[in-house]
Amino acid sequence: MSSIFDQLKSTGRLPSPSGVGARILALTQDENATVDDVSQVLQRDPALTGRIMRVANSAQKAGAVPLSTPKEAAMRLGMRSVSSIAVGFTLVSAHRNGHCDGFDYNAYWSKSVATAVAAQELARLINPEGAPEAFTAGLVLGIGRLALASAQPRAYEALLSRWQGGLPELRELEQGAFGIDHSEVGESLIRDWGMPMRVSHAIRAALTVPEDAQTKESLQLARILETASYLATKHIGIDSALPGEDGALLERLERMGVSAVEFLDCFDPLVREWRELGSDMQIAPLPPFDDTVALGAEAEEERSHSPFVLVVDDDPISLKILSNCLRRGGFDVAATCHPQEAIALAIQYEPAVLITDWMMPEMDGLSLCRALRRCEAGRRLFIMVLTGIEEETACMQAFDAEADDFIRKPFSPKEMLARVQVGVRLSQAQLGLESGGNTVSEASAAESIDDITAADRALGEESGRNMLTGLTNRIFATSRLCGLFEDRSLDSISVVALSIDGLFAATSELGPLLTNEITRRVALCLSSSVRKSDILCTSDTGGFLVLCPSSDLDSATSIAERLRKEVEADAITLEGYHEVVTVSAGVAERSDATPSPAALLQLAEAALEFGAMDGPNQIHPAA
Amino acid sequence: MQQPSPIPIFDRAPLDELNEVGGPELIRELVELFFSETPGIISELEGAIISEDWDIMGRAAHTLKSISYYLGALILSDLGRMIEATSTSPSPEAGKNFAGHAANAFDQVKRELRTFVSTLPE
Repeated sequence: MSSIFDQLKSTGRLPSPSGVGARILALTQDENATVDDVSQVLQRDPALTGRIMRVANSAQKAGAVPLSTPKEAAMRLGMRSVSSIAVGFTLVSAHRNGHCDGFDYNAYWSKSVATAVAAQELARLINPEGAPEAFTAGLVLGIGRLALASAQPRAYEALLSRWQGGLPELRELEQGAFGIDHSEVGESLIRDWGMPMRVSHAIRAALTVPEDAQTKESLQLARILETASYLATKHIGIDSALPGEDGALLERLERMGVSAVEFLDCFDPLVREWRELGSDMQIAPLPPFDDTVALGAEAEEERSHSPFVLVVDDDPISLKILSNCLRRGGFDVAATCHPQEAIALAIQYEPAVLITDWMMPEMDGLSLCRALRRCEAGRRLFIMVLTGIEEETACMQAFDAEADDFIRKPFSPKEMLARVQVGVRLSQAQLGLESGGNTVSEASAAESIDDITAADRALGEESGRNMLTGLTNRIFATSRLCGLFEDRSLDSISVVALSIDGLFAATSELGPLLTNEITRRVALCLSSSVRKSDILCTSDTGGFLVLCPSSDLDSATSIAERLRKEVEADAITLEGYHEVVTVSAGVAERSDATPSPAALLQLAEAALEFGAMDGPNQIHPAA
Repeated sequence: MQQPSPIPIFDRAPLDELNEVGGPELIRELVELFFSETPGIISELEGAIISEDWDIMGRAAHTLKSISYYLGALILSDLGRMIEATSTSPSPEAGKNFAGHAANAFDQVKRELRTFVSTLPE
């Protein structure tokens, strides 16, 4: 089993905690690490800190003084508990989407969050100290399925298309296709991350036979997880389901020694917690998640019909008030503090209404509004701009940016709800008009597709991704490099700047279509050649950047040399272009002379530019 | 130094409205969030004044104004409003006169909010 797992691992595509989560996991395995170290790392991610505080406080005994800082949480709950919650959350952020078409990533995470809050609540009633660990274990209970979908997306998609329903049947199909099933993959993966054995054993047992758990602790956690998963499947988010009348649930509670009355008292807050956490993590609440049947078209149809509202605001209190009031007003809500994420969510989920704050550090609300109006989904949206700007002209500026409504902060929750209801009605009326027999000519439809493609490309650029290559762009590279610069565990960081030799001259001769294709093919070659630990992005001059953490100048030069050879060996040939495609590279390492990420990027690019005089197909380390 | 404004420290009206739509649970969560977020915003404000970065000062003051109002912390909200206005004035350094009151005002507001929360039903 382990060798099959190792093969899956060697694909480099298995889910793993990243960024702050990975750093925290490393700290928990360092016996010299202190509570202060953990809280300092956590503070780099305010959104994550907020989520941890919420879970840490939910796990507290009723009446306990609320925890207000990550340090307090780490001291009260223990470093390992806080860390494991952080690891769980960073996993969600990093693996919210994927490439396996038959795998419903949103439903997967929504159910995982439901399982996590249910497990936490059950554990709180049995052993409050174990509640944070139960939360994390619930969040990663199904990680084996995500891992198989990530490592073998096409094979798993084919497998899912054959699956008729039932978890034992799914495990059987997985064994047939891969020689390993999701319960085994989950157990190995969790152990591989360095999480406690009792958690990995409990997860395997919960997915198969809880009574097979190897220790008393694992058995208790396995039963909690199995019951939590049952609740997530049968009850959470399903208004018609009555947990108090479900004999199978009551039997499970009794087996764990949990008072049914006590648990049922906690059920509504648990469901609210699930909705709020999901909304906070931009996961649409889409039950039912019945794993005993494969999700078909009918189930998709039956999913929530509540109007969907997307909220973006960098102020966490305003975001919380908006989300909470909207949810209580009967809307499905997704909330984010990042405008660029809002663009992606708006295109993917097509909400009826978007409420955006005006002043936000990453992108202001008016720019977001203009960007969205450039694509089809954004044109149909009812957009409300929310602002604390007091100038009278603010309202006119918002309407100039094609906003539909304007609300001043601080807003009255009731007035805001009333305005959203109007927005939903207008949005639905517009949809009705569009689908009500208005024939669109083929020419205008084609025009519209071109328009969307152009807008999507522009939006892609704004959201950090180069649409031609699918790689992240220079803005993203700079941002990642900032993160690497802050990581004190890295003793060296280098950057490789690559350009395709002669491409600029070829553009005027061959035209943009052919040179775009060359760029795309080189991007593919580089993507398959870079190390897993390196980060490949596009530069804004048609070339590429490779960020190499833990690499000094010599090793980064070797990496550049290997990439150069790979591109040359790939022998890219295109009709109408008979030159051998080669790349040159400039390499620079962080030093006192390159104190900032931007300076390091510029140094690598300068090395490339100066070296170009020596001819093509060469590597130029910075002096 | 005199108080810059005769505005009351705390007004329960915004919280009463939130209580109507979100119940005591929402209020408790917002108060926790306010307690955890505000010290960071005040530190950012003080840091911006020391480094004379008036843009950051204005942005932090804007956030302070907004989050404080929802919690009925009128004195803090008003301080935020005044500092924000100062940040774009010809003498933004005057912002420090107001910012000096922020930490003290926050302590007073915390006491009021704790009392308010203790009256909420479980």
